[in-house]
Amino acid sequence: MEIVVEGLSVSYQRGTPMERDALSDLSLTIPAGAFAGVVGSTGSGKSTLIRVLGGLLLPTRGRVRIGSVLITPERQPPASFAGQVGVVFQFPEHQLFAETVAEDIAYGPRNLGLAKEEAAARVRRAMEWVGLPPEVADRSPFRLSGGEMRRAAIAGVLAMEPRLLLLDEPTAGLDPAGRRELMERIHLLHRERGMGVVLVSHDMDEVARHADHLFVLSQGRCVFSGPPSQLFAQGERLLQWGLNLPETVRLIRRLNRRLDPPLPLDFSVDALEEELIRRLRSAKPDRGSVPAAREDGGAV
Amino acid sequence: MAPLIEVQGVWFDFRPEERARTDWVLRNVDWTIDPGEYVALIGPNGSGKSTLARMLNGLLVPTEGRVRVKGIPTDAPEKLWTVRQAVGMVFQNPENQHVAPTVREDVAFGLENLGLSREEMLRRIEEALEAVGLRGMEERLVHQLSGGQKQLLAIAGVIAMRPEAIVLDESTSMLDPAARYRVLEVVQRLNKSEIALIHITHSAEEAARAGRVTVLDRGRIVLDGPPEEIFLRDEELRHLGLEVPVLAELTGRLRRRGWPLSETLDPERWVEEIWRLLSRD
Repeated sequence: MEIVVEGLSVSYQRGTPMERDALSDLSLTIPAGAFAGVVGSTGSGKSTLIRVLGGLLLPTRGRVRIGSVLITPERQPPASFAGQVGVVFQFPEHQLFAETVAEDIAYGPRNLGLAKEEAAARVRRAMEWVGLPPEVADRSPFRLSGGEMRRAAIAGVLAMEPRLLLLDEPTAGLDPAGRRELMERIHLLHRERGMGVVLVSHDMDEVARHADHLFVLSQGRCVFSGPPSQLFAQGERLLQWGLNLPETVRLIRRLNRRLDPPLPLDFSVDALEEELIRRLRSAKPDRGSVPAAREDGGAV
Repeated sequence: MAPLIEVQGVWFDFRPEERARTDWVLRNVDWTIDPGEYVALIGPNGSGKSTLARMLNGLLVPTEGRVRVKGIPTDAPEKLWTVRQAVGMVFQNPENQHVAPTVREDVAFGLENLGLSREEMLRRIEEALEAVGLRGMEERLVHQLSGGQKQLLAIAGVIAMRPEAIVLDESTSMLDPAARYRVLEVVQRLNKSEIALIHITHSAEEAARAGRVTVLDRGRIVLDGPPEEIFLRDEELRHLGLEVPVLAELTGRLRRRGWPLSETLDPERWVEEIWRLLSRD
């Protein structure tokens, strides 16, 4: 489902002296089925945007079209919208409530009016997608580890089998292995099922690894949209937007002060390793033969 | 130099009588923090990091073994106040560490039990807010501060107590990059003025700033040493599910393929080395 946001403003505490715009005159387009990343510092409006796209908060001004659904200040999305657009909020495990994991995950599908068997099939599938073993289905969600609770909560959203998944800082608080696994699994669903994803995060490394379209929000406006490599070339402007370059990009930028020709900024660590080895070998052919022999002999 | 904190043969579990010792949260931990040291504590979720952190100022006491702060055992109730004053804690979530409505009152709260004169209290509040860069915000309402400012306020509350160590339990993990950088800058400056820093973090890049890195896995210390040494064991750390700074990972990979890079986590020196290898001299 294509997402078109036009002139979107959202004000909180309207009509009071505390009134402030969380989003002001924001416009952006996300192609259908894309994996989009939204980055920006705290208070830039990222979470507000997710709430509007999820149909949970109406615009103060402007409009949003998601697929064929139009959302305006006067017009809420239809009830069927909930079955098509899934929202994973920050720390979604705080919303677990049922006595067993399976019941918790089945809550959404049951609300869609699905029969018990179909709902049960969806629970099994969703658990598999997030990597929860079948035997935890009958356990209390509150006896799971932190990482498992997070996955159970996300499974509850995925069980609705949304065509568009909105994620607000889905990996906050997980350890690096847990973060990587969760994002890999979501990426797999994106590829295999064509599920569109909008990922809000302040972890640039994570966003850069997965998203193909990036949007930068700053003070409620969209100040950049484009592919990751283009964003990384923005240099100092990133700091003004409260963003950090991914670690790999920062290293490549340092290398590029010395290297000619410069390395592409969107290189992965693997690509960087291979390119450095290639250049090292051609610079020092005499030396290149020794490491090559050791390499064939297996890692040291 | 006498150690500031000594963790000796510590075993801990929340339900020790129900669980096998092999499953305990902490299993025979020996660990020492010297005055003014800067130590990063890393480990996967569930490895016992936060539990160990809470041992350092008596929020939790060992099931077996002993923790001493400046020689005082943390399980001596009459000395607990001295222990808590010496080792301050800053937690992960900026939303639930504050007790008073305004910035000034929040810093004052901890001081009220120290029996200080009003002048001394005001002086300490001023100094603490100055140190974290919140001077001039004394009358601001705590709930209107940003996440980063709330963490800085929590740090101010700790340093007003004149501690000898600050424990940061993933205190930067919920902050955006700009706020994270600001908090790190503040605590590193405090560390330069001789306050020991124990930083629990999932970020390899943050941990690499410390003078020493301790790795905890399933309740045991598995690695402990300077960051250059620890992070160049990139495969071992990955196996534990931990992150490695990109620079250390590349160094590890290039070294395994025979290129003679030294153990450094300093990007300038690293680029310099690569460049030397690349130039035909």
